[in-house]
Amino acid sequence: MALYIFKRCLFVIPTLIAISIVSFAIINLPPGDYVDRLVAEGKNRGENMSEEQIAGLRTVYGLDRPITEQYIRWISDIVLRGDFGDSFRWNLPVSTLIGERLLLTVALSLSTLFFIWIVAIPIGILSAVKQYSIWDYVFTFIGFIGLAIPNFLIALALMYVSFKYLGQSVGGLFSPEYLDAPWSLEKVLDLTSHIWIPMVVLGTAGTAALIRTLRANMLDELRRPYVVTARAKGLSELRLIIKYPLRHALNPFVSSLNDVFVNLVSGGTIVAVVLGLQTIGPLLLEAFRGEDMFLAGSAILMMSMLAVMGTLFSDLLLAWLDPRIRLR
Amino acid sequence: MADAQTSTDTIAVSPETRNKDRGVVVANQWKLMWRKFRKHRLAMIGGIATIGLYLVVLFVEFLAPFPPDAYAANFTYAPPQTLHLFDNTPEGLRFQPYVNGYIVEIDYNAGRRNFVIDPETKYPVGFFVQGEPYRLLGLIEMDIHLIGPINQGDPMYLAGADRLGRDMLSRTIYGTRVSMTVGLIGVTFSLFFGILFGGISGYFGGVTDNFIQRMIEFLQSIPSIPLWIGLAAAIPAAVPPVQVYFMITLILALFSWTGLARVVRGRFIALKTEDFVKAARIDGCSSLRIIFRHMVPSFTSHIIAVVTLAIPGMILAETALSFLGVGLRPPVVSWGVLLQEAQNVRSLSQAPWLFLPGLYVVIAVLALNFLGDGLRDAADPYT
Amino acid sequence: MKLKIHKPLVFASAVLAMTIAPLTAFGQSGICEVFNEAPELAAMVAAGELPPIEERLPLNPRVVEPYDSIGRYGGTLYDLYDGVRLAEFRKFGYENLVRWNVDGTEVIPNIAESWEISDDGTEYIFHLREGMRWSDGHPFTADDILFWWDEVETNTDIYPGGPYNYFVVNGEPATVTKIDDFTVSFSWSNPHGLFLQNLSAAYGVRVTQFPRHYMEQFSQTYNPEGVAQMMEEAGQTEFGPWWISRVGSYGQQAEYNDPARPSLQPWIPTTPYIGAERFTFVRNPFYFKIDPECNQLPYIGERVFTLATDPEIRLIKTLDGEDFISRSEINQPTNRAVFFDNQVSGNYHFINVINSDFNTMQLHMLLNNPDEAQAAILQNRDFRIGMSYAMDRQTVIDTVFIGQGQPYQQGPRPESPFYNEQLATQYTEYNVDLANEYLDRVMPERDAEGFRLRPDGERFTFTVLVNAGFRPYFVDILQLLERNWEEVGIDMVIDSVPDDVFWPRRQDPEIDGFVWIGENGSGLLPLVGANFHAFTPEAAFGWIAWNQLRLNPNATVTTEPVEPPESIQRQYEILTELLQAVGIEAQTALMNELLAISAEDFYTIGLSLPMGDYQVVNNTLRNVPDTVIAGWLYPGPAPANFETFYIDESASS
Repeated sequence: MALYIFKRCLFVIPTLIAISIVSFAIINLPPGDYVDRLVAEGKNRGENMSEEQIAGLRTVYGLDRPITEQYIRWISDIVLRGDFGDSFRWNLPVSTLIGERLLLTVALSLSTLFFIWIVAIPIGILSAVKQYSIWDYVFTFIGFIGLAIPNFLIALALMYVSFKYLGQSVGGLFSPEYLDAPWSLEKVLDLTSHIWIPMVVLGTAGTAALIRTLRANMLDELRRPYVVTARAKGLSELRLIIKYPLRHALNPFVSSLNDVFVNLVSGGTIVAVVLGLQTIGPLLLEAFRGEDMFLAGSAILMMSMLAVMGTLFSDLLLAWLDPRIRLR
Repeated sequence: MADAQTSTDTIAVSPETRNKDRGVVVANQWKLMWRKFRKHRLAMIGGIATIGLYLVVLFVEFLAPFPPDAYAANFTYAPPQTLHLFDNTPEGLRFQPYVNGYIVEIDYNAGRRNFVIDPETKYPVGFFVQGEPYRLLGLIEMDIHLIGPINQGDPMYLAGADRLGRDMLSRTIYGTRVSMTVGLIGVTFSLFFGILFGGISGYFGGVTDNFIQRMIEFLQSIPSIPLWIGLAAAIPAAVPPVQVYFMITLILALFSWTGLARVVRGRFIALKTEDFVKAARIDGCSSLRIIFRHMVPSFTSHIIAVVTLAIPGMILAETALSFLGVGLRPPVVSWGVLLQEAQNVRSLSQAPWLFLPGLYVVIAVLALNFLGDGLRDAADPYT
Repeated sequence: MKLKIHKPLVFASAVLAMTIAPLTAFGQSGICEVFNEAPELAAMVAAGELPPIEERLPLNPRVVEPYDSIGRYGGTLYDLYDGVRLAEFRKFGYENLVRWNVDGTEVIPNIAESWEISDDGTEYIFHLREGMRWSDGHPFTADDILFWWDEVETNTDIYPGGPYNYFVVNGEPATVTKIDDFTVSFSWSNPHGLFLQNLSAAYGVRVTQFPRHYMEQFSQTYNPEGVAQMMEEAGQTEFGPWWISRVGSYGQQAEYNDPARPSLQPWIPTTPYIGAERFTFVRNPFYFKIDPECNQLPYIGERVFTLATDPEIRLIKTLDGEDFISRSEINQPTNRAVFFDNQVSGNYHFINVINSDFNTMQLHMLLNNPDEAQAAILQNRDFRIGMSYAMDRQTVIDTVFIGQGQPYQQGPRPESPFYNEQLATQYTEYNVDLANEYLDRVMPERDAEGFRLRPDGERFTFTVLVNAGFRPYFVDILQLLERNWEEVGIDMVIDSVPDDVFWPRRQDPEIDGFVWIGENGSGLLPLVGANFHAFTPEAAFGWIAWNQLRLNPNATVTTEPVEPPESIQRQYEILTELLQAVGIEAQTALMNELLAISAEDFYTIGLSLPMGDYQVVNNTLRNVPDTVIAGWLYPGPAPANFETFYIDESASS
């Protein structure tokens, strides 16, 4: 087990390096740079910059250096000093900008994950045990609908409903009066009263997928001879299900968790944009549009790291559940 | 899109775990599949709906009453009309489809046109009526439309109008073409990558396999949407819409081939030791020939199922990218573009009919999922 | 040098329907026996934390007449912050040396209590207010302005390209000198005829943004070791970027981010705001303006800003009453219906906005297209007349602007003193026959699909570049016009691109034209706007390059220079003369000549005059005029005197 954990953790390192290179390559793909962007914005307002001014700005932001040098500067600052560079647009260290948002992103992803579990596990079991019952059909149908409706449509609809009928201040995870308040019990309570919309929106797809997986796996397990044997021995139905098939059925369930987590992190982007959440996603989108490369690169890096950590966690969990994997 | 990704990946795991069928004679396999598939009620419905949607793709110009860009100043944000099939004529109730006209007044204070359905005015509507000329399938010159006002120029908005008075029904139908083919073409790309890398990985094994597997793990571990956004933002804005369309499909394919590659790899490992593969190798066939001529055909049915399940993910992805404003752009009409145009408070509160394309997305995704599920079950005749 | 005493620049113009102009402050020192102040400030004075009001105000405070009534102290003004600029300049921070009056017809004193201009227009002398103080109580003097000029504006580490072009005449930066503590002079060897108007626009703010006593610590001249240490702490190696992120000048994120930085604005920050989701600005106890009843302004005690980066979220928050004066990108024509429906729940009302833009959309032709056959067509006046006649402007107005506006070609707005009727209205009629007649003179041949052919037999395609992000309605309008032009045989292609691609792409050879709004058309603004090529062919990059070389043979130009026709050469000369013309008579004569040539040449096709704009204002907010002006060089609605607004809670409906 220790060896497996070690090997698995070791694999994270090349992954992170690859991710950092990919992130940096992607943020450099769009034509133009932040200075072009500044020039364009200036012109939108009727300002005209001379060629010298433009070249000067490029030197100021270090954009006149070769791309590899820019990358090495960026990554070595991160590794050696924990400095993710500065956001051009915000004139702030990227770490300051991302810090609190990272916390909210994790909080939202984790709470959505729990929401998915709480909803999906009982329904998955119920659908499998009572196969072809009315409940099975109802939940299968709801599950499919959940898969099929784009997240952002649900988000838009819920947002409008909450504005029009619930009178809640929309946009963001807090009421205005708590935005600049320090963390307190009231602020946490305020957060919980706002977080349900993104949680439900983000959770529908994952829930639907997990219900389907769990149902299929349970059905496979329920047909196995050991279940028949156990039942023949007179084990109560509930104990029987929880004791054996559920444990086995949860295996692939856990392995698909990393997909769910990766998707929560990435799918959260769109929902957060629509709902105006202060998570990393909208910051990233803005950064891309504004050619704010260090911010964009670091945001991708952070989100990827979150996803990689989620995968690592679920792999380790899986290894703990299923000894065969450790030996692979 | 998060959703469909998950579903693809889920499937990627399960057939592997229960892949037990060995070399079944091809004709028999298809027959068995069909027999099994027919029993799956939902899959049949999904299949029919899918075929229907792709027929729409082919005959867009015929099915849409108007061109997607036909505007009308007087009918901005006109609400949907009801299509009445029967009319009270002097000879009694007759089959004479019509729609009621609107009473329009401009409310300058509110900055909008107010519409009241006018029961007095009736505009006769017909099937197979003359309208804007077009080329069917790009070849046959025609001007017959499935449905339309009998007198050209009469207002007919069965699904309402958008901010320029353009017919939402026609626009949604035109959007079908782009959105449904994005999935198809994207899947074709990812199929190619999937078979190529999955095949190489499974066929050669060893170091190659290890490398490709790590690459797949890497690709699967990074969140797709931020990367999509980045890549889509990197498309030079100067490229014409058609190329943007292909680039978007390529970008979508770039991350979706991994699931397929894993399925293919699993199959390859299982098939590698089969007699017919050994025979081909002894015969001196090249590796590529063995992969594409002998091995691929033996698990085509599985591939079809997986591919079908990958399409909805593509559709949702295109919708999401366009929605974020980094995908397709007007004047290209796709469901994502239409929803992006509707993504504002004004549409939500004043013109909910602009979300009709959303319904189409749901139908398409459901249909393809049902179909794919049925195909997957059917492709595994021994379970 | 002979100096003449300033007489206020009042011009006979079709004045907008605005009644109250603020009183000028001349000779008003000493009108007040006693000054009144906000209760919390009075309490601080009583506690000895603040000097008494008389010592905080200048000897000659600026007196501002409120729009409607004398206000009461207190309350909070709520704003939204888009994360890019503090509330936008239009809603915060208009304290220049001199400023536009409410209706944009006149430059009036502000921080400077008066000024003198030399007869030849080469020297401007500004008299500051004696006893005026920064928000920390330190006196505001000529030294502060000199510090800005020496250490900021002319500092090439900060502005590598040198001072902003407002302060430069014929390549020569101004000479800024301190005459005494309260007198500053700007001079050049050539006259600068538009300096006051320039100073009144957005960029004029920077002159009075730098309190020397505080800013010296961030200067490499005065505090090199300290600066080096601060830069090291911030992990920065270059002075320019560090300064921009730590101090910041006009339009930069940092400008109000430092709560310790003294300011002349009516409200001052209490915390750094960059990255904050909500922050508060409070009353500046040393603010230099009073109302006619001797109450120190501002009335409103604090301004609270909430971050909302997504425009739709900003819209919903505005509908919810979380923004007391709606932002310009939110009160678009398309949103009017939503605002109308939520008036009661959002507790706001509509006010009229007069747009200082003169056109909703103008089409500029790329006259120097490297493809000569194409350029010949675009340069043909008959072609442009034909294109103009083919446009069904009224239908576009009905569809996109719900009937608000009138067909309009180009040039200053009807209420501007420079209005030119021919330029504004010629060829705006929708007439397909006339359009065909004119186009037939240029391209009589057509292909099988009915599209016109160039003389070389190729189909003529007309590619129009559009910045899809700048005005959402641009693409809509072009889609409507595409059909209009198709009707007369013109094959038009819409090239819709985002903001950052738009500017570099304008000069691509495959582009034939681009669209933009017509800006700065009201009042005297066309004078200032003319230099931005508002009335000369904006997209004739070859001609513009030629002109740059004419002005400065050593200039680097990015386009191949092309010698323009004589009429354009004359226009370029006029622009140079205009900058140096002193006095409104000379300026008007030159403007009229410039516009007459524009009308005759007809290079730019316009669509419609913007009308029916609006803003929504919270019902509890008083003294907001019923009509305000929006624009860029005129930074509306800021000139409507935010400091005189007050909150009347009883007014909620």
